[in-house]
Amino acid sequence: MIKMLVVDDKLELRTLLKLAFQNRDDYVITEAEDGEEALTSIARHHPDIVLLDVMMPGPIDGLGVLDAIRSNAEYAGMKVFMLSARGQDRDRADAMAKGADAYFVKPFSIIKLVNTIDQTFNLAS
Amino acid sequence: MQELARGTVKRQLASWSILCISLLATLYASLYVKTGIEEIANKQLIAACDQATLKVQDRLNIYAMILRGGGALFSATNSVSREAWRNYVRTLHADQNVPGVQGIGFAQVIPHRLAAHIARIRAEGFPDYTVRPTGERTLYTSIIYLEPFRDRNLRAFGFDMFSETVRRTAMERARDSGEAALSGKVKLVQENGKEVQAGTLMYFPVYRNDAPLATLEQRREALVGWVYSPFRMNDLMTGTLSDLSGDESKSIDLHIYDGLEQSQNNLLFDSNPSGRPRSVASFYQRRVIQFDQNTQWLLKFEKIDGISKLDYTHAWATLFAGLVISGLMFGLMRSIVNTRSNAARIAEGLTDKIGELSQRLSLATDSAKIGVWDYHVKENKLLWDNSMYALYGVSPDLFNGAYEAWQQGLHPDDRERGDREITQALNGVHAFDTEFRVVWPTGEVRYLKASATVLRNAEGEAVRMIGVNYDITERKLDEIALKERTEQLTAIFSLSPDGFVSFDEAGRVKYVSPAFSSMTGLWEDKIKGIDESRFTAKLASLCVSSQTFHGLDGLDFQVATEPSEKPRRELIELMVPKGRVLEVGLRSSNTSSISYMLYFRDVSYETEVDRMKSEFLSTAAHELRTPMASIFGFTELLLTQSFDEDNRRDLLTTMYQQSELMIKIINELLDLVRIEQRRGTDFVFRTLNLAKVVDEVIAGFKLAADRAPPVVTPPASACPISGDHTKLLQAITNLISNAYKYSPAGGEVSIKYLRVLSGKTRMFGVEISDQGIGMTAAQSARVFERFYRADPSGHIPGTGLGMSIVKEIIEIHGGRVVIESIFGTGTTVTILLPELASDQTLSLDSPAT
Repeated sequence: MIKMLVVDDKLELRTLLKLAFQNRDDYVITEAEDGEEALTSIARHHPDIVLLDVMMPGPIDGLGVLDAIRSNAEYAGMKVFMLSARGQDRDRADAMAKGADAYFVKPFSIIKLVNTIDQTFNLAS
Repeated sequence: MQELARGTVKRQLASWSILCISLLATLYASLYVKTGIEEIANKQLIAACDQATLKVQDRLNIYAMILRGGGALFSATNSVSREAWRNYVRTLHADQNVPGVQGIGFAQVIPHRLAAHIARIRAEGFPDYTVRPTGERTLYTSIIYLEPFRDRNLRAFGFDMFSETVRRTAMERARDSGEAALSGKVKLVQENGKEVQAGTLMYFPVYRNDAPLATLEQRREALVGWVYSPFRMNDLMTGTLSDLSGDESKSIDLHIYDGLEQSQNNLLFDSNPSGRPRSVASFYQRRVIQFDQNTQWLLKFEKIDGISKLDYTHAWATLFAGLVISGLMFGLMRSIVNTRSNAARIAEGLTDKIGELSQRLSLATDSAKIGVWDYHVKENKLLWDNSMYALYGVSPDLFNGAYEAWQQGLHPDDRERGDREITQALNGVHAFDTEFRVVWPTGEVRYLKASATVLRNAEGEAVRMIGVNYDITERKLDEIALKERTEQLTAIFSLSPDGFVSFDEAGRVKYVSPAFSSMTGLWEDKIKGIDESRFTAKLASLCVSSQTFHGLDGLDFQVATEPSEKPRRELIELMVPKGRVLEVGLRSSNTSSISYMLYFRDVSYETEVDRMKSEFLSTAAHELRTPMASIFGFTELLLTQSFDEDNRRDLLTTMYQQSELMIKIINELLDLVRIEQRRGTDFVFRTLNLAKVVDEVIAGFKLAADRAPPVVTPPASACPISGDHTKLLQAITNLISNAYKYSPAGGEVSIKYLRVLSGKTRMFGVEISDQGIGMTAAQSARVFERFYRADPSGHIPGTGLGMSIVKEIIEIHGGRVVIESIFGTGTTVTILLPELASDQTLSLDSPAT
């Protein structure tokens, strides 16, 4: 069972991700609307993977959450996939440098995202 | 030059002539002196000759007198005894008193009784006596007395002199004339063969005492004998020449000839028988002694080489002195001539040099178009050379050479000044060195440069003024062009928004343009003259550390001749004012006064616009990507997965809404861009009543089911403005829409009108208030940012462009948008639009839609 946290301020996107995994029994999905909520959720659930939006309102944005995860040894091995409307190389490089495992630019192929997550955990869809 | 040479030759000839003349004069004087000396000598000689001649004559006369005395003795006594004769002669002391007399004798005529005579004499004690020569003759004579009766004279005793022709002639002449007669040259019987001298004899007739002697016959009849005297010529002459004084006597030859014929036969006496060479005599005198009627002696005096014996000291002295004087005169003359000639040569050289210089000068002045003038102040005469006429564009015949004529050639604006400067130069106030314009008769204006020297007399009065003019029109025009250009450049530099800093060759700040100073706050007085490194440090200290000024080394030089190459430019950012970004470029120059120039362009705006553009683009992309992500993702899911009808409807609804949002974003973006780009050019301005426009919006506004319409407080009167109806509708719609959107919990939306004075402009205001979430100050500040949304959660739909559009529209109307917001309490947005003046409101109430 893979524990997955979806963090995005947009309801449509959270809905999209939940729907993409609606038929999968091997994933358990939790949602968060902003950075603070995400960190609370991570601390409680210790997700295996976090799908993290970069631009979010509130004091902690996506990169802030990433930093927090990577700076905490408890969360070692936690997968972090960045989902961002910012598609420039610099944004991507920044995120990867901070320890992101993947970087998806919106709009992205939801099928491809699911496949990538499956491969990460050696699961078949 | 030739003339001069001729002059020199003349003068040299003169000196030589003087030498010749003085030499000739010397010679003449010397000769004159010599001649004088010779004449004196000659006269002396002549006198001596006369003296000698007289002496000879006197001596002969004395002899004659002696003989006459002897004759008188015979006349006095009838018979003169041998004894008486001896006494007579002895008394005479003739041998002492009268030199040369061989003896004084008596020759008796023996008439027809020769034997008796011989006998009588023999009886006297002379047994050997005979009359010689023997022989038969008509008349016999015999020397019976001859005293002194001794020696040679003994040989004459008894000699019949009448027998010999020469003697007889003289004896006959004496007998016939009754006077003494002299014989020709004879050889005296006394001669013994030694020292034979020429001899002569003098006879004086002795007649019978009482015999008549009147006729020749009577005298011949009465003749008794002759008193006679034989002379040995040499002895006779002894002493006569002693008066030819001293040395002279020795150098003078005297020949005495019997008769006037000069022949050896007649030669009675030769003072120099040893025979000097018979050359031409330098001195020659003849004297004739007439003794009796038939006897003449020729005395010939000759001087052979006596000249050398003359004292020519005076002549030589004269010659010597003359030569010395001549030499001195010649020397003096030569010296004068040489001095003159040297002076002349120097003068000639100078003249040549001056000529050459003047030629060169005129060549130079001609080719350089330098005119030379010479102003004679008192005469008011102005002399011009040819170049001057060319400079003033007049022909020589049109210029009358007066000061006023020059003045007339000047440009009217320069005349007074030119005159003043001439006057000042003449008064010695300052030198004449000026520039003025001349106007040619053709109307052409030329610029001339002029300078002059004033010549003054001893009293310091200005007499002449000599100067030059030359054309500086080209230079002047260049200067004017340069000045204009400089002024232009200065204007450009000071007006240019770009700043410039130029450096001289030494790398010091030479020029700072006002724009640079206002950009940076570095004013000219603070940085002019400082070197490059100090300038760099000063400028760098004003920059933020991330974009500081690194100095000129970091900049590429742009060579002025290669303008095509775009140089690398650096951007520096100043700390104050914040965000001011300057682009720095460098240009090098080929001129010596400016070696390179930095230029600064304020690119703050461009930089900001660039930044805003890229931010806007990335924001816009982001804003579009978000709805696109939903649409894309849902579409993919729908295509790959199966959903029940409800889920499918939800998905499609979401997709529809997201698409709608995208369309709205795109529309509003386009609106914004269009408004910005056109700056209102597509706006149609009409006179509108602002309150009516608001009412229109409210009437058309689709309210949510749970919301009450806005509470409007109508204005006191109409609000006439000039505006684009459609755009104002859009703006006010956006504002009312926002008021409802950002008060999701409900609450009243109210609209009020107000009038304010903004500066000098009266404005109408519409105030739209909500009681919504409000905004923090930070949020309020970003309201007009594109895509900025006070609620980013997505719960309140929107594009983030609405307020930007409102702002653009209102500002194009000349109005303002004011936002007052309190977080959590609500927001009030006021738009202010300029009032129309009353005369512009006539059509206010007419239908305006």
